[in-house]
Amino acid sequence: MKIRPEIQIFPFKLISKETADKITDELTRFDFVTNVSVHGPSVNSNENENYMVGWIWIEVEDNNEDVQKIIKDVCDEFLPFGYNIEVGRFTKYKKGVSDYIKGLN
Amino acid sequence: MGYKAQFHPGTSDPSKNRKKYMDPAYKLQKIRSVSDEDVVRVLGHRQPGEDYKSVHPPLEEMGEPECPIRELVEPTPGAKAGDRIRYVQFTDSVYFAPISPYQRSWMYSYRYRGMDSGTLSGRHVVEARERDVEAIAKELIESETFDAARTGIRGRTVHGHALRLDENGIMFDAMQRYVFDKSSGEVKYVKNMVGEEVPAPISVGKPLSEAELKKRTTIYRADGITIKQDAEVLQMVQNVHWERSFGGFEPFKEAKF
Repeated sequence: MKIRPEIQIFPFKLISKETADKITDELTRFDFVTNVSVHGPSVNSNENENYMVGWIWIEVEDNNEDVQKIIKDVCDEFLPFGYNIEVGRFTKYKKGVSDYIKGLN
Repeated sequence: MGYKAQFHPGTSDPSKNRKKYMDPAYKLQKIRSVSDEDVVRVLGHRQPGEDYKSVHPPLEEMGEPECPIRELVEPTPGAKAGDRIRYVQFTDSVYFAPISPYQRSWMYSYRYRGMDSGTLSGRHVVEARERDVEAIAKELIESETFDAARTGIRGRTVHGHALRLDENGIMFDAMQRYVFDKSSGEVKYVKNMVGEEVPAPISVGKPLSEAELKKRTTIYRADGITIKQDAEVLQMVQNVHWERSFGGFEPFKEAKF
């Protein structure tokens, strides 16, 4: 199994769901992006499902300078207050032992 | 007596602000005004105009025993009337909030009577008789120690003081008690301290600018004024550290820095 790298965007401010959706929409247009996941604290959980976004993980086919440049351009547009970019693997990509016991796929 | 309390060591801006807030002779600057009804609504302990509930009859009717301490200490208005104990709690962001919980405790101890304060990492609760709490809350909300964006009035779900700010520079609040009104640039409370809706949004004014906050803060931060820039404060911290670590071990030894 090929383990694809992920690019983590860490905005210097907690962004709203709407801004995160814009970034996600913009990024999923590209072929080299295979998955985008967002993570952050939830707000107002009793009434409706809403959350703030503090981390965006972009799974890409291959990490290279061109890919980084495109992602940086998108970030510069939507995150004027600054952000950090890191490359690595931040989400689960295969079954763990406890998943195996629970029978999850 | 030739002695004048300096309240806190140091000469840097945070240090000066700490001295100011702790000095009971210094009158806190009033930077906004919130009506008495709105303070009562935000606290949510009673409806505006409703009578105070009491836990004992007024002191005058009770016929207190003869006691020199009772003669010496004037009871607060709440204690006199026999009010219930109620609380107000503030959360202070780590991003240059005008004051932080620990200094709140120091400040309250110098300024208010008949209260019990509790310090936690991100929030500070003060308990007192109901009408005293209302008076304390009003003074604090209207004063310079409260910023619309970096300070929150939160009874529960206080989490958020160390989280990143949101896009408008407002401290995270899971209950969304206050919202940023983009058209007026003001922060408005739409829920009370424990997250119940209030009849009409209560404005607490515009958030201060980043530069102004850095000037007013009592927080030493790596991206503001660090504690190392203020030799006297650093000396005090090292003293405290030395005495905590070695004081019980070999107390005859002199501190060496």
